[in-house]
Amino acid sequence: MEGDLLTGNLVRLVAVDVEEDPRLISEWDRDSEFQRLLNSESAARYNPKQVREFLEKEIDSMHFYIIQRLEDDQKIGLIDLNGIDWVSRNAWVGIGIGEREFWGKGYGTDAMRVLLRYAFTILNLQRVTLNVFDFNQRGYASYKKCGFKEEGRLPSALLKAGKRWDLIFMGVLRSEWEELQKSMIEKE
Amino acid sequence: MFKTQLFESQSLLLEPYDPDKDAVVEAGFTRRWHYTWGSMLYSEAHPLSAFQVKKKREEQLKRCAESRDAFLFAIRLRENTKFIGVVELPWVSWSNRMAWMKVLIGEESLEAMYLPEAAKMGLRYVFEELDMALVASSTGEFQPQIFHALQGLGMRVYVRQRLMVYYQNRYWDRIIVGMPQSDWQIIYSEE
Repeated sequence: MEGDLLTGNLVRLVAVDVEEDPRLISEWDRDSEFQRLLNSESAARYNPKQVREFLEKEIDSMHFYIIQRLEDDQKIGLIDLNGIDWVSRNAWVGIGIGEREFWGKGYGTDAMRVLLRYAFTILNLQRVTLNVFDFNQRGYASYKKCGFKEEGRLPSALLKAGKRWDLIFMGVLRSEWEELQKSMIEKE
Repeated sequence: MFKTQLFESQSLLLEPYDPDKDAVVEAGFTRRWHYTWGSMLYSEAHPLSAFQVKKKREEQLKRCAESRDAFLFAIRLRENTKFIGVVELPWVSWSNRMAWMKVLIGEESLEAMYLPEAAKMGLRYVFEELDMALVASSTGEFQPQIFHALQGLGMRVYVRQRLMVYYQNRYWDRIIVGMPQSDWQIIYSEE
């Protein structure tokens, strides 16, 4: 494949701008549902300076990208590969669409497909892993579309809004991702 | 008032980790791949010097003291206070009342003898002192002795992460076992 590997059908993944993006991320955090979908820990508010300090500290240890719409270059979310294990060639992925008007419209799925292509064809990983919470059915369906399989769940591991929820573990192997690419090409 | 001790069992003590003394012994344990992999003291599993272990453990103890979302205990034999391993709670999620636990014993022969007893002390601390709703621990099919010990205590297999660990020229599944507090109360209610 030629061209920009970090560009999909709807979005491109761009490097984080530590000057501008902390303000955007801090604003997304105002929507507590965004935070609850993204993070198992308590939702909280962080000012742009705190976000910037976090990014500056972690930027070299993780692949952190902002999701940008192709249509108008609007930045709508974030995605990252973290906890990369170069011996076992595994990484964890986290993703969130901060702009609520773009939920459920395929942007997250497209961003995840782009990131998986990058993980398997450039970073030479053999597996990508994620956690999703069982109240996030939209995310779960999106990850399945991208090739992730459920590998189990910790029952009632999370407490949100007074109710306990399962913590679901999903993973996709490189061989499975390659098969999926073949079947998608055959369908086209 | 209370029927059981948290930091003493028949053969073992859970004591404060001493970075000056214990790190020297623990550095020797890191020659065992299973110990080093489990400890995650370094990103790749390889033997560590006493200096490296001391530095990592001091950082961990600082975090334990400041954030209170992690705990570290040295496991010692009651009979002679010999340091044989650690019980770690590397992450306690207070908002979810969920904790991760690691039990590491340095010598293989001692592991077979004391792992269940040490793990049970860890579980008791998690449930009866921290009041966690769930505890989880990761192991793998490449560590049958640890896996069976945790299962023997009543922990259930909840997650099997396929081919997640590379060891000795092949990939192995990482297995996450766990126990809810309700199970602990049923299994150990008589103690």
